[in-house]
Amino acid sequence: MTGSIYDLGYRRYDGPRLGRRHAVVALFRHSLRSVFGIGRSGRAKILPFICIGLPTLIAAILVAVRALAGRAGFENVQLVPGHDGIYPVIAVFPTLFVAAQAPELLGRDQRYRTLTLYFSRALHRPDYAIGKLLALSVGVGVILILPHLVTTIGTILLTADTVKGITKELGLLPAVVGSTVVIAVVTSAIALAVASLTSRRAYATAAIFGVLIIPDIVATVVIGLDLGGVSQWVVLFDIGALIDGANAWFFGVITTNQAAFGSGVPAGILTLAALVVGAAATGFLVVRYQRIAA
Amino acid sequence: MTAQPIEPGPDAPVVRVDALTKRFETVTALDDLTLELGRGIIGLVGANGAGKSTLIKILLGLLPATSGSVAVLGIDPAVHGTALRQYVGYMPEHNVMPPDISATELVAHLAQLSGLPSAAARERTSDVLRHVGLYEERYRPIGGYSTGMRQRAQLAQAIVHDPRLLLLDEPTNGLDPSGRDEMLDLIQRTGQEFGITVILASHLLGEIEQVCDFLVAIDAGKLLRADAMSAFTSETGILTVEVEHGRDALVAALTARGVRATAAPADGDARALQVALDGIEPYDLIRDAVAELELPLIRIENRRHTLEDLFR
Repeated sequence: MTGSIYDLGYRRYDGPRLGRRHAVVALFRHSLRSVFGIGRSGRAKILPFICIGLPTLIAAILVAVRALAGRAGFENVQLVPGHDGIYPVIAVFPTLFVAAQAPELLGRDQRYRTLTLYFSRALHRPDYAIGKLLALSVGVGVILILPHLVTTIGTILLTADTVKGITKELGLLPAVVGSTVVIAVVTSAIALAVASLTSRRAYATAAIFGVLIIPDIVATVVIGLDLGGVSQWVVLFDIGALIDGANAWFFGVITTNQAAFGSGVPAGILTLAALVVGAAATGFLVVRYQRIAA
Repeated sequence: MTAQPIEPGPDAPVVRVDALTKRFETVTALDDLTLELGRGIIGLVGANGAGKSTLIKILLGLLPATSGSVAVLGIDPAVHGTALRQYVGYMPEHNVMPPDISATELVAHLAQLSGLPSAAARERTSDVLRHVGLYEERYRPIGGYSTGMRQRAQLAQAIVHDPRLLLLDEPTNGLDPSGRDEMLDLIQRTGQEFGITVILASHLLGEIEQVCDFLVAIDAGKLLRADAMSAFTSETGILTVEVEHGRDALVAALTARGVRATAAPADGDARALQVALDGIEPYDLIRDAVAELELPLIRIENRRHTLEDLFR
């Protein structure tokens, strides 16, 4: 550079054009950044930070409690939640996270009709929906996996025989990964399906809370009444119970969700139902973006 | 899969449309349209609802045709839409820019969605924002932009990936006169300096006349005419003669001299007559006839076509 300020003139681009896959990955990466508030204002970072930080902190506290209780010789030390029980303890955070971030991910592009600019590029309409779903899922996945990671590190450090500790943790790896993936994708798919219906952020957030929480309250009451007959199957509409049931199924433990436990429906069926609901929500999201005006 | 990447054919016409028909449930938006367009700045005119936006969406591969064939840069948009759209820029009619992020962030992101690697996307983003005159403002949120700036940012996102073809849908919508001139100037530079073929859809004939060198006129989904701009505004071969009175006597006198003159002016003016300019030079004959009849002559004028004639 000679320091001149002359107009360089228009420069052609003769480099590579990387196509649809690159476009979807770029959309995913951009969405993932905005899910965590990266490249956004400081205010936009607060909630993601809380949703990631607190579950991790809770897991660390639980590890410490288990260590102290074990050292003090308490017999019920196994009751302190470990890998299998951490999700029910922190479930409120992924719920809060998707309720806040799903409308953020979809609402802006709908509200300002920016979708037009996306669809006139190297992606198909369903690619947009899938890219956003992957981004939110990874966001939820991070929230879920960090407490597991803390638990794993804590367990290995606290086990006298390190090799034994590592072996034990490795044995739990499939359950940790499986439950994290299923919970993350199902929760995200439901939240995005709901958020896709409105460009109004506040409505979308309220609706996501409603869908994720209200069925659990209703199902808990209905199952608590013990009406008999088919009434316990109402649990299949209780997304909270399905997700908790899936978590229990992966770890082979008994669900701690009241409705899921009270219904007596096997965890395997709850897991299957969670997958069906997740798939249905994904399908709905894709169809919605296939048809949305842009 | 080791498929060859789909790329624009070097010699393919920019747009080729053959017997294209698009029917929606109740209306026929495009009716048996056949068209071939080369490089340049091409105006696409037609009243609202004439089918301009439908044609643009089909060229982008966003709408399937009911029948007929379409090739853009030699690529079928219905089959290879995503590959094609890496080489096509589109600026929609309405403002679709989100207010809460900066032009740089949005345009660089969109460049990647058009297939550019991220480093190239960033580099070209700052390039095109400079070209559209938003270099100083590029890190400011778009919400703080004026309408003209927003529209120029919207043009920037359409050319950031150096498209071979740029589709503009009513790009001066909502702009004040100076913003409008700036936008038209930018469009002209894009077409001439940057060498990008532009299709400019507009219902404003004045704008089209100002910047385009080729014109496609459609009406109710049918092709009215496609030709070089000069052909639309050429002389008509008709001379308009206007006299204060005595028009019919003048027509008779001219006819007697062998001039094809008619007293049926298109604009319904009772004082005007039209003289065909085929072969003979009627100027002296008109002068003589007027002098002989001692008529007060108002004007003799060579009539030119205007774009408005198209839609008469």
